[in-house]
Amino acid sequence: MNKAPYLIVITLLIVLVTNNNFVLDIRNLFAAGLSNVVSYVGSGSELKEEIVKLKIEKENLQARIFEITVNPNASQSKRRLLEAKVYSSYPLNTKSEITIAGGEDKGLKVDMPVVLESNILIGKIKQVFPDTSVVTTIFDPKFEISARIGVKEIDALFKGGVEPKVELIARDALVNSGEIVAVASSDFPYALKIGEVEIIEESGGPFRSGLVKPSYTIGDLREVMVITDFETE
Amino acid sequence: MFLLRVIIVIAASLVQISPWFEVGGIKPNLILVVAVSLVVFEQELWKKITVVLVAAIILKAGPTFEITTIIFVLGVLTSILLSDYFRFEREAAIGGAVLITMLALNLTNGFSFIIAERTVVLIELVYTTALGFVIVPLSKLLYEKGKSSKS
Repeated sequence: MNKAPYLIVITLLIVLVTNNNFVLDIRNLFAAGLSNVVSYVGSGSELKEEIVKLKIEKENLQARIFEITVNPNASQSKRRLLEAKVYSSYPLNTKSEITIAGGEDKGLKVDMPVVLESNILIGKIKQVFPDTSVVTTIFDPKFEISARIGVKEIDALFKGGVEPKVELIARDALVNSGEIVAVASSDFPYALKIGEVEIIEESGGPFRSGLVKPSYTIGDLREVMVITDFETE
Repeated sequence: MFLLRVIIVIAASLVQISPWFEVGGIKPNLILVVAVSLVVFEQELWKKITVVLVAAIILKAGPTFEITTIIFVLGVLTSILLSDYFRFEREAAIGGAVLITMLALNLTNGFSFIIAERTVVLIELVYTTALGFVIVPLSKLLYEKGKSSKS
């Protein structure tokens, strides 16, 4: 009887069910290599990446200026940031969660804020594994947080989702499109940028709501920063 | 020919996890279509299982064993059930297995996910079906070539 097929299947099963980083590292290496090859072959891909990078840097600088404007006492030196790679999100096209490299091994804990660069909110850590963590993003329909809009710091409630929103904006408050929506919850550093107000929807009730345009798309994320420690300023 | 199928499934898995494999920000489920197509046209059970396991190993998003990986494996194996035991037409078995797996994968986030992200789920389904119209005939061709080279 030929035992080779059984051996192959059993070996593959063991590799699949065991907790190992070896295959994961090889796979990520291949994926990165393949991506580089495609970037090299595809004309303009490098330029596109540069544009995305510059756009994110610009957004972050705007977010930083906004933070200093609304909270002059804010000191980023009081924050500890840890860089983490973002894993690919197969098989789901979900934007509501991302998996990042780093978990208990790097001292990450549930509810730690996760940002892009230093001032753009991505979400918070939901689950921590030995060397990976799952992050709930602002695109999760269950993600809700106290927020403030613009330099006048108008109170609102940010609600995540495919189309993130700000709700419970007082009817008499003057809110314009393009104003920054920022975090106002004590669980996060004050005034992290969530996005910008896109459209304000008028309704008959005492409150108004509006659509929020985030500063990034989940697909563009390669590295994020985890805020491991911060002081409420 | 079997080695070629394994290479195809490895290549498809790597393409699937590559960040650039997106159409308008949504990834079609290429590997699911490829794996199911190869499995349905494959003759021997151990070869079918090998194809599925190779794909699952590469797709594993983290070091831990996840529910989505189990669903992927079970979903692809459903195609064997449909084609070999329920005697579905091969193309129907592929379509059925892909649909069931995609729904099950999206359901891991609950019904609210499908409702909240229905546009994404629908577009993903359309993209994947479109891929199926290209990949399934190619798999059939590969299988028939393999058969003719043996005989």
